[in-house]
Amino acid sequence: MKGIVLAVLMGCAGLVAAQEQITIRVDTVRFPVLVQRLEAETSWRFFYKEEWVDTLRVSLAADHLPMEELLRDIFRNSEIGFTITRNQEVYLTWRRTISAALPAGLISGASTGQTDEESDVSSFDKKVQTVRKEETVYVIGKRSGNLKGEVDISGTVTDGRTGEPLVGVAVFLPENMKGTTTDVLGQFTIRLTRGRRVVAFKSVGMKPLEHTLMVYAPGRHDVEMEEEITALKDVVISAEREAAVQGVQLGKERIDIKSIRQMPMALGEADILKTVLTLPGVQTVGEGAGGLNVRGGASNQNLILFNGATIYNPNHLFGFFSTFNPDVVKGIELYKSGLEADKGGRLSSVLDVAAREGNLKKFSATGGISPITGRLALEGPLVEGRTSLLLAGRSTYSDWILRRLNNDEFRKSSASFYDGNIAIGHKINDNNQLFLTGYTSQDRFKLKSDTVYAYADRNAALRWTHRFAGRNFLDAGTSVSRYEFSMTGEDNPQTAFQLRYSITHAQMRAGVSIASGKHSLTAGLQSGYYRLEPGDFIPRGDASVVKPERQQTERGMEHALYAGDQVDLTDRVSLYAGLRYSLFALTGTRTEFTYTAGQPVELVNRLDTVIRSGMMMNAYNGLEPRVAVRVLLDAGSSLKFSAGRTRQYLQMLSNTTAIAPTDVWKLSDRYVKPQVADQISAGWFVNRAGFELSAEGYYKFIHNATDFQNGARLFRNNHLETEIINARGKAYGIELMARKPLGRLNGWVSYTWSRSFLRSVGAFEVEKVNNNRWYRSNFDKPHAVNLISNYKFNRRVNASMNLTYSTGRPITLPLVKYTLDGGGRLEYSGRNALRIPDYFRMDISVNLEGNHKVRKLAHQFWTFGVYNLTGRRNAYSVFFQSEGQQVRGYKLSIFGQAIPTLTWNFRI
Amino acid sequence: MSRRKGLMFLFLAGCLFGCLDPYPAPKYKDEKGYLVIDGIVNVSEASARVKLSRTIGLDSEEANPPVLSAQVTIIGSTGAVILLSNSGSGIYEAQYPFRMDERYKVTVRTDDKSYESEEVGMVANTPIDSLVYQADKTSLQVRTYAHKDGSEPGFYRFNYEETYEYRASYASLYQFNNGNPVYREPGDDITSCWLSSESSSIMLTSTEGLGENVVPGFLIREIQRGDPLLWFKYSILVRQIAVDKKTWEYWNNVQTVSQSLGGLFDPIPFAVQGNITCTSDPSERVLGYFSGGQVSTSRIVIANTNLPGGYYLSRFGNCTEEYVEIRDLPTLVGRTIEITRAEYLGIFLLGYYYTLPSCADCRYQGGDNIRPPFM
Repeated sequence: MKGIVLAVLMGCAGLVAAQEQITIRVDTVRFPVLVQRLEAETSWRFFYKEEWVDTLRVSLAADHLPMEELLRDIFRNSEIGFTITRNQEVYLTWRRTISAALPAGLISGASTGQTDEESDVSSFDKKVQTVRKEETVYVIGKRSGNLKGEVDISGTVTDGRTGEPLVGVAVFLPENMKGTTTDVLGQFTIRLTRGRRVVAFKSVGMKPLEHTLMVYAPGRHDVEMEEEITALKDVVISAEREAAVQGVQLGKERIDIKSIRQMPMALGEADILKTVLTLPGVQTVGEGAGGLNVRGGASNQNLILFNGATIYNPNHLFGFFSTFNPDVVKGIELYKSGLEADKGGRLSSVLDVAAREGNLKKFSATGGISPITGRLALEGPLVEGRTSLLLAGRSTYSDWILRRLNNDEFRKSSASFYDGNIAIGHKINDNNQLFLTGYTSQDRFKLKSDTVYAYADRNAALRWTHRFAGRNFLDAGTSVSRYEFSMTGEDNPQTAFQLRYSITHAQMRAGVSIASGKHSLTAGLQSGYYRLEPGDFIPRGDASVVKPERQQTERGMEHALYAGDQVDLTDRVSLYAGLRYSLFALTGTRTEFTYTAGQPVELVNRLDTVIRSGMMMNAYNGLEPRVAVRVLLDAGSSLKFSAGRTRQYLQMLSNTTAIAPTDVWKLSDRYVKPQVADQISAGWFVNRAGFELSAEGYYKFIHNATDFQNGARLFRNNHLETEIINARGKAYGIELMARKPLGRLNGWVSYTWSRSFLRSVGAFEVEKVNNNRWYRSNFDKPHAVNLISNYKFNRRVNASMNLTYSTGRPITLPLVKYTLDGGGRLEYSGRNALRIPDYFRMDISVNLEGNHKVRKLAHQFWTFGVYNLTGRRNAYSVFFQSEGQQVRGYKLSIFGQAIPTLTWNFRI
Repeated sequence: MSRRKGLMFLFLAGCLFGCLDPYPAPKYKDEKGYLVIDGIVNVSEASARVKLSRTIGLDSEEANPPVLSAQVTIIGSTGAVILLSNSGSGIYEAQYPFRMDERYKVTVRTDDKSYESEEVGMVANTPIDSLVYQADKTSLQVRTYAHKDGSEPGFYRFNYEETYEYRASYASLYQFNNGNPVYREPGDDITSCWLSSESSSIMLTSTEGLGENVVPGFLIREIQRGDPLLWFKYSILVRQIAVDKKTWEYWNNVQTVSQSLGGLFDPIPFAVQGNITCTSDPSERVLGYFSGGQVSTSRIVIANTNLPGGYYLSRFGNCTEEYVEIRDLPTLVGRTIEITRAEYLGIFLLGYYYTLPSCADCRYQGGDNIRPPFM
C-alpha cells in the first residue's frame, strides 16, 4: 500500500504548469458550495472534512489563477492547510500541512507543519489514500542534483498548544543517535548530510516526532510538538538520554518541569531543589537545610540563576519549600563540572532555573491547593502570537494553622511566605525576542521566641535574543537582584533592636554564538556590580537604649570576558576549549584595619586604621581555562573528559551547618582572597537495550577556601578577617547511575561515593583547625543511594516511589564533661570528627488524572503522597546540653513521622 | 476543640518544628581526663580561689573527680608569690591583698606535670546600682541594673547564690527521746530550714553596642509562680564579675557550646581554648580559665507575703499524722519518728500525734535549720 502511494506521489514531479487554472467569481458562499462549483466546472477534486470548513465563507474573483494561489488566498488566516497533487486533487488538512510530493514548487505553506499517527487521512470523507508519517517529506532548499556534503538545518520547536518554545528537546538522527538539543529559545541547529534524512524530536511529556526531511540546501524547519496528555508519566528526563551520550558536556543535568512534577512531593508541591537533590553528586546537610552541596562544595559555591538573575536564598520556610513556583518554571539545568566558559562566578555549580513564557495562543489558569500552600498562575496572549503574559503567586497558610494549634510553643512561633512572578515574552519578529521577568519572594518567621526573622529575594531580568543568519545568535541580558534580611528582637524593650542586611547585584551580559562548519564558537562579556549593606543595627521602640550602628557599605565590580569553541575533530571526537578571564575589584571608600606583620590577624594585633578609596582597590583577576573532550565509542556509548578552573569573588560566611537566612555575604577584600577551584572529571556513558548507564569520577581542589575560627562572630562585625581562616579544600568521588527512561516501570538508581575535606593553613594557633590536618567538611557524606521509580497502572493512575539513603553528615560532638563555675560544661572533639546517624527516607505518591477529553473546561488531577513513609526520625542534628549538673544528649529530627498530603491541581 | 486539634494534627502530622529524642553519648575513653582549672582572684574580698578537677566521660554518672594534692601558686608581676592552701575537694584558696594595678598568673603542679596560665590584669568593676524583683501572674523575675562611667564598654559575668526557707509538712514540737517526748527549745526548731545553692548556668552581658554604658535590667533569675523557692522567704546574692573582653569571649564560647546548640541555625560547636597551658607537655589539652578583678555583690530578700497570690501552694505532700495514746507510747520506742503535738483533754494528756521524720524534720531535705543572718 505504502509503496503504491509513494509511487503515485513521487512520479509526479514538475508538472505545475500543466495544471488547469481557475476562473471563478463567488460572493460570500460557504466553502462547500465553492467546492461543488469547482468540481462541477473543472477537473479538480477536493478531499476534506465538512466540519473544518462549515463556517468558512468565501468571496473571490479569480481569473486564470493557479489553484495554489487561490487556496492560499482563501485559507490565509485559517488553520487549514492544503496539499495539491499532480492529479489535480486537493487535500485539506486541519492545522497541518501534508507535503505530498517532492518538488519544492508544489509545496504550499512551507514546511511549518507536523504530522504523526493522528494525521491519518482515513478521517477524510471521500476516497482516501492512506498517507502515513513515513510518506510526509519536508523539503528543505531548492531541488538539485547535488546530494553531496553536509548542510545546517535550523528551526524552532514550540509547544503546539501554547506556542511556547520548548527547551532541551532532543533533535537527533535515529540512524546514528547523533544530534543536539534545543536552546533556551527552543531553537536548534543540526548538521545533516544532503538527501533524505529522518530526524527525531523528543521531549519529556511531548509526543515524540520523526520527520523525514529532503535536504537540498541549508534552511529552516520549524516543529510544533503536542503535549502527551494521556501518558504524563512516561518518561523521566528521557529527552536527555541521547544528549547524555552525544553531548560534549560532562556533569550536566537537565530536568524538565514535567519530571519534577512526577517526584513524590514532600509537602504537596513539586519542588525544584528537592528534585535536584536526587541527582548523583548533589547533597544536603539535612532536611530543612535548603543549601545544596554539589560535589563536595559548600552551598554558597552554587550559582542559582532564575532567568539569568542571581537568587541568594532559594528557600522558603526553613528550606521545606524552594522559592520557585512550579507553575512558572519551565525546567532547570545543573552544571556540576565541565562548565563552559560563559559560566562562572561560583566554584561548584550553576543551577539555571528558567521560567516559562506565557501562552501565546489563549488564556489559561493553573493552580493547586495543598495542606500548606495555595498557588495560582494566569497566562495568556497580550498580542496573540507575539506577546504573552504570565502572572503567578503562591502563599502559605501555615501561620493560620500555627495560631490554631493548642500548644504554647507553636503559638509563640510563626512562619509565613509568599512569592510572585511576572513574565512577559515578546516576539519582535522571527529573529528577535524579548523576555522580561520579575520575581519576588518574602519569608517571615519566629521560632519559640520573640525574635522575628524576615528575608526577601527580589529580581528583575530582561533578555534579548537575536538571531543572525543561519545558526548564529546574540544573547544579551541585564538583571538586578536584591536580597535582604532583618532580625527584630523585642523581648526586652530596653534592648529591642532591628538588624537589617542587604545585597544588591546588578549585571549585564552579552554573548554571541556562531556556528560555522565544524566549529561552534561562543564569546561574550559579563559585567556585574555589587553593593552590600552588611548590617544596620537600630533601636526599636522608645525604651530601647540600643545604639544605632552601621557597618560600612561594600561595593565591588566583577567583569568577565570569555570565548570558547567546540569543534568536531572527527566523527567520533569532539573537543571543547574555552577561556574565561575574570576581574574583580572593590570600589568606593573603605575603612580597613591593618595588622602587625608576622602576627595572627587578630584585633589585639591591630596596627592601624586606613581609609582607602578608588576604583581598583584589592583587584583580583585570573584566567579560567575550560576543556572538554568527547570520544564516541559507538552509536550508544561515549567517553568524556573535562577539566576547568573556576573563581569566586563573593562568598557567603556561615558558621551554621544549614543555610540560615541570616548568613552574611562578603566580597573578596584585602584579607579575604577569592576562592579558586580546579576540577577534573571523566565519565563513561552508555545507552543499551533501553537502559542508560553512566559512571563519572571527579577530583576537585579548592584554594583559598574559607572556614571559621572557633566561635567566630560573623554578625555586626567590621573586621571579619579576624574570624576567617584560610583553608584548602579537596573533594573527589564517583557517581554511578542506571536509568530506565521508558516503559510502564521507569526511573533510575544512583550511587555516589564522595569525600570532601578541608585543611587550615594558618601559621598561628588561632588560625588552625584540628592542627592543620585534613578534616571532613560539613557535607562529607561518603555514601549516597537514590532510587526513583514510577509505575504506570493505566492512563489515569500512576504511582511513584523514592528511596534515599546517605551517610550521616559529620558533626562536632562533646566527648567529655567538666564543671566550671558551678555548672556542667562540655569539651568537644576536633571539628567534624564524628557523624550523625545515617539518613534514610522513603516517599510514595499516587497521581490520579481526570478524564482525558482534550477539550473540556478544566483539566485537573489529584496527588496523594506520603513523605517519609517509614516514619523514620532522621537526625537533622545531634547535640548535648548541660542542664544544671547534668549533660543530656538529644537528636533533633525535622520530621517525626510519615507525612501524608493531598493536593488538588487544575488547569483551565 | 478536640475536633479542630485532630484536623490540625492531620495537617501537620509530624513535628514540623523538630522532634527531640534522647541520644546516647559517643563512646570515648577518657582514662585520666584533662585537667580543669577554674581560678579567680577576687580583689574586692582580697581572696583567690582555684578549683582543680578532671574531665569525665559524657555518659559517666559520677561527679568530676577533684584534684586533691596539687601545688597551686599565684605569682604577681612584681614578684609576689602566693601559695594557695588546700581546703579539700580540689579547692585551693588564699587570702591576700591583691592589687588592682598588678598582673597575676596561676601555676599548678600536679604529681607529674606543671601548668601555667597567662598573666592577667585585674579588671575594675562598677557597683550594682540595684537588684530588683518583679512578680506577675506567671513568674518572678530578678533583674540587675548597673551603670559605668566613661565610654569604654563594660563586660560582665554574673553568678549568684540563692537561699530559700522551706518548712517541714508538720511542726515537730517534741523530741522523741528514748520513748519520752521532750518539748523542743526555740533554738532546736527543725520545722524551718534554709537551703542554699549556687547558680550553674553562665550569665553574660556587655554594654558594647548600647547607646548608654548601662546594664539595663539584666535578667538574673526567673522563678515560676508556685515554685517552693518562694513559699516563704527567698534571698539571692548576685555577684557581678567585671571581666575583660577576652575573658568575656571565653565564657561566651563556653556558654555557646554548652547551653545553646542543635537548633537549625545554631553555630557549629568547638573545643574552647582557655588561657592555661601545660608547660611540661604543651600538646596536652588543659581546660578552664584564670582571671581576676573586682566583684560587686548585692542581695535582696523576698518574702512570700509581698508577692501576689498563687506563689504559695499546699505544703503537706504525702505526709500524714498518726495518733498514739499515752499508754501505747512504749510501742513506738526504737522507731524513728517525730512527735508533732500532744492531745489534751483539759489538763489531762491523752496522747501524741507523730509522723515520719521526713515529714517533720526539714533537715531531711538537705537544708540547715540555722537561720542565716540575712534571712
